[in-house]
Amino acid sequence: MNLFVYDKTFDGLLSVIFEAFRLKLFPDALRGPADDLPLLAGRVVRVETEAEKAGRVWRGLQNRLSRPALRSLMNAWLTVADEAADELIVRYARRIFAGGDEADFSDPDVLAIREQSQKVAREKMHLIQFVRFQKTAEGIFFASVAPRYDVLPLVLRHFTGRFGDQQWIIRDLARGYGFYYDLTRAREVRPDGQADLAAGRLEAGLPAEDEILFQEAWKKYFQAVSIESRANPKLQRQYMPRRFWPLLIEKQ
Amino acid sequence: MNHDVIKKLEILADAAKYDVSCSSSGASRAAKRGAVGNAVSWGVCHSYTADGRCISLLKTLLSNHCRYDCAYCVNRRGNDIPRASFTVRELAELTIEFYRRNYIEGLFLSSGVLRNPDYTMERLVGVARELRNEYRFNGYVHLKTIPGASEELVHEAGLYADRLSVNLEIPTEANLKALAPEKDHQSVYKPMNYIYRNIAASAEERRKFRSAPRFAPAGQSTQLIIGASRETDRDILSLAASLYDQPKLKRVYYSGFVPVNAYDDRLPPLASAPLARENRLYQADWLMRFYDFAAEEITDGESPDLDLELDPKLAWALRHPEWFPVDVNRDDYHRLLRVPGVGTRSAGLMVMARRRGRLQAGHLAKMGVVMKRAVHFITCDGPRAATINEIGPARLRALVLGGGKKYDPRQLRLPFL
Ligand code: SF4
Repeated sequence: MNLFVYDKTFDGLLSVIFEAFRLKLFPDALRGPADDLPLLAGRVVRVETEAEKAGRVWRGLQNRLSRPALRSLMNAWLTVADEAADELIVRYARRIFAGGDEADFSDPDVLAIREQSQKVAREKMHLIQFVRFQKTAEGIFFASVAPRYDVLPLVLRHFTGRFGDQQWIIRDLARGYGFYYDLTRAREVRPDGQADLAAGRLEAGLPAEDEILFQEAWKKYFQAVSIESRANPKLQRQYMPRRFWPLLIEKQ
Repeated sequence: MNHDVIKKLEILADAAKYDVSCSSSGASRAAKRGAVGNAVSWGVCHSYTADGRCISLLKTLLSNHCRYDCAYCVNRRGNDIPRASFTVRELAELTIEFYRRNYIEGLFLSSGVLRNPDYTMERLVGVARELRNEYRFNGYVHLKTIPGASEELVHEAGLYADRLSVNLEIPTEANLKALAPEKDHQSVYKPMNYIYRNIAASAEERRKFRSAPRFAPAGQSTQLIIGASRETDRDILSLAASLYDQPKLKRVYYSGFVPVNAYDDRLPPLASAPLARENRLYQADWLMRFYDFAAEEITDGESPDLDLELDPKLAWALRHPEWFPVDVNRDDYHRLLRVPGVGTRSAGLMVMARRRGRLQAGHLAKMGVVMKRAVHFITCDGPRAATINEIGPARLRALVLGGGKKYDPRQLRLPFL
């Protein structure tokens, strides 16, 4: 069994692909620098991340893949922390470089890339749906989210387009960073020193004067439009997975 | 904003909730500098009710006071219920504040008839005017047109709203007259046709001048109440087909009659809303809009009503064994669409994939074909199941229904067709 170790970055993964072709040796499994190696690992290859190699692989993929397919591949990468998408991407790249067809969905890896990408697209959609802003006394609209994948950067365009005339902050609780939109552009912010980013929810006293009233109005609206006699919690959870509920005002 | 407004919201949202045409899709507005909001063409659900329905818009009445007395409506004049009215300002503020918090995509506004149709319509238009002009709101607005309102007001409504709707409510005029003597179809078709002409004219203008004003860019829709009167599904679907054809409605909504006003003996005795029927009608409507089915095909069975036990596509397939089996490696997209268990997406994938090699059953399942259904209607490479012609429609029907699972209308979702 061939095991490749790399730094778990996207450039690192592209470097893995480069090395695999150079060595004519393809990984059966990938590990990060901090992972334990299995006792019976066969050959272990440690790959250094190099921008030059990564760039060559990336240009190669750009030449061979359509834009949607390239986007699917990038999306699939975002699931790497959770679902070993890196091994999938290496197999997929190998196939593409060997002349394989990006639309041959009878191939399990081609189909899997598409499926991973769709999962990311769904998570992105969930953010667009379930972000809930709370207005602070300073007039900034603040939201906390905890998406399954690192999709916050993918929705910035949506939120700057839609809420272009209000200042907002969206914080990813799971990854400990966020974006602040200052009426001109959205900037990445890390929690250090950012008092308002440190708390997941707004502290009492911080909300704008009417904030609690609007939250209350929204909750009442939510209750008023439900038809209790037709309650179907399973269906509700299917569309609005429970992991989002803690951050939804109407479910509190 | 105060608790008074919240009280009103509770009453007026509750009064509006049985009106089903709550979708914000079909509109696309680019974000504008200095304005808030955009509308995306696929519509966004921001929450789901306890019964699993999408919450996309703030759907409310401006007022539930009404001077009419329609038999099928909770808000009719004669009912003793809590009543409330928003001011234009209150509702515009509520909408914009909900929107800025990402609770909603926009507003869906209707109303009971206050003093007269124009007086009421002027207020509905007023809310949209205030949102667009004062709050620079660029999100989605759907306005109900009050039957009998003047063309000037309907015209102004069309300039602010993404979508307009005029509700037919009761499919045939005779039945409408019986249940709502103060109404007639003329007062619905007139504004409908007026809106249709304006939409067409505005589209034409905009081909010449990009800056020409848009008129109800997401089109118009209507709603039919199902089960408050005695029309058959055949009547209802052919009416819907003609509405899609001529005033070119974007959507027809079917609302299973929720039994209210049981004291009124003009209404049929119903224990509960005919949800299963409502669902089957939506599925049939879906077939007309996306699957190239004609209304007459969907109801070409012995009964003028849809089969409640089977989705209308499967029911049609069982009546038409001569169409099958469909060869997934050869037959065109439109034939593939006729196969139960095949959707528009999987049919598209199949057409794409087979250019590169022959399709086998395993491939189909991965493309999202519901094989349990489809197997009896197709031929493909590899081991195959008995087709409808070998089993016979009647036995196949029993086989499909014999799954043992009890019929539950809530489990029906449209896209599985
Ligand atoms: S006019 Fe509308 S609100 Fe008034 S009773 Fe008839 S259906 Fe109800």
